[in-house]
Formats: sequence, structure tokens, C-alpha cells
Amino acid sequence: MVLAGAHLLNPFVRGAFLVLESFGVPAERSGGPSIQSGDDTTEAVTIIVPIVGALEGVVFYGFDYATAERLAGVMLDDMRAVRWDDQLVQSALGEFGNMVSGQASAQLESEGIRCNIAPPVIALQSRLIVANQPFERLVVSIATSLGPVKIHLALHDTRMRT
Amino acid sequence: MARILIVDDAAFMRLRLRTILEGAGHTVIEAANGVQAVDTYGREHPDVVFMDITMPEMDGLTALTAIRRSHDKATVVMCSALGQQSMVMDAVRSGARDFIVKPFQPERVLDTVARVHGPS
Repeated sequence: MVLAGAHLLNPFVRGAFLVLESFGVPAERSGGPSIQSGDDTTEAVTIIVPIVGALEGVVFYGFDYATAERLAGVMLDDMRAVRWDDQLVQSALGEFGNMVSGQASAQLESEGIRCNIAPPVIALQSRLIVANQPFERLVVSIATSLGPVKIHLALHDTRMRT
Repeated sequence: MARILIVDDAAFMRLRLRTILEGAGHTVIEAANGVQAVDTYGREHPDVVFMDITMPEMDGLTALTAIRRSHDKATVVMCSALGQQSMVMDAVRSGARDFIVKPFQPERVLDTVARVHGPS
């Protein structure tokens, strides 16, 4: 299978900008995409969103703890101190991944690439093994006023299968 | 003011919509999946339903169809992170009155209530 091209990062980056902006968080891309390989998560907090359809694979949204806490706090309107055992905090972060991926899938569909997103999973640990063998992913960093966010894209274009 | 049923499996989304709607004076009840939504609708007869699409146990499109089958005047607004045209069309064919895409903007939510239920 062929790792989907770097241009497919753009809908996810735009989706992240749009969702962050809706919560009043300015963001900008920091640097170009890179390729990483591994079978594990690399950030302290990772929102994992499976993608199916014309593109298949996973998208990771990775944060350090402080950034994830600040994001959850902003999404919850600072209504509560962020505690990781609070279901609402994990729900908020999961919905961040859901909304960004949803925005991206809508943009992809407008380009004729139809895919759907599955419910997100939150990994609260770096180096968490998430696959039975290393896989390549495109990674791009976003600088936000809350801290850095990394988007990992490990998608294969099913239309290119032979 | 309207009595509004929020249906979403994500506690965060229910809280966000509740905050917006109660802040404008509406009364809110909640359900966490499609099965609960059908049951709660039959018991409470809310004025408006905000229904997520992707949920466990029973998805929003199935719940919409079930509610409309027994309550053909039910006013249901579909909500989803997926802004996909095909889902919008499916929801409209099944009787949805409107469709809003997450993340919710408070003005858009309140405008939708005013449009489908009437101004407060």
C-alpha cells in the first residue's frame, strides 16, 4: 500500500485551525512535514482517530500534558480544574479529534475523496504500542497559544491498491 | 422558550449545547444514545431535538426515523462533526428539519432553535 501524500495533511491542519479558532485559540503551522516510523505514540497525550473509506488508517493528535490540560480547560470554558480521571476532560479532548477529523473529511469529500471517521480513543501515555509493527506517518507541528500540537497522518489511499 | 432534548454520546458536547441553550433561557433534557432518545422523546415530548449522528447502540439517523415514525411532527436537528453532504441528504430524507456541524457556534445554535421552533 502507498502512504498517502503530504498534500492530505492540509485538510487536517486547516481543520485544526478552524476548530482551535472556534475556541478562540490562534494557531499557525510550524515547519514542514516530516516522516516518522514507529509502532507507538510519541506524545504524552494522543487522540487517536481511525479513518475508513477512500483513505484508511489513523490520525494522531499529540500534545504534552500541559498543552492538553490547557486545551481541555479552554474547551470546558475553564469551568473546572482539569483532572485526567474526569470523564468530561477526556470527552472534550476526544471531541477535539472528532471535530478536526470531521472538518478534514468534509474538505476531502469536496475534493472527491470520501472517507469516514470512527470514534476517537485517548492514549494518556507516550511510547504506548498501538500497532503490531512499525508504520510510517507524516507529521506536522502546529504552534498554538496553548502549546504545540502534532498531527500524525498514517493513511493509505485504498483507490491505489492493485 | 423551548424544551429541548440533546442527544449525544459525548458528555462534553452535551454540556456545551446545554450551556448555550440554558444561557438563552431554554429548558434542556439529555440522552446519551439513540435508544435513550427514542424513549425520552416518547415520555417528554420536547419541542426540539438536537441529535448527534454517530452514537453507540443506536445511531442518530435510526433514532430520527424511529421518532418520526411515531411522532410525525417531531422537530429534529441533526448535529455531527461530519459535514458530509451524503449524511445531510440522508437526514433530510428522514425528516430532519436542519443540520449543524460541530464545533457549535452559539449564534448558529440559537438561530436554528428560533427558525425551527419560533423566536423566544
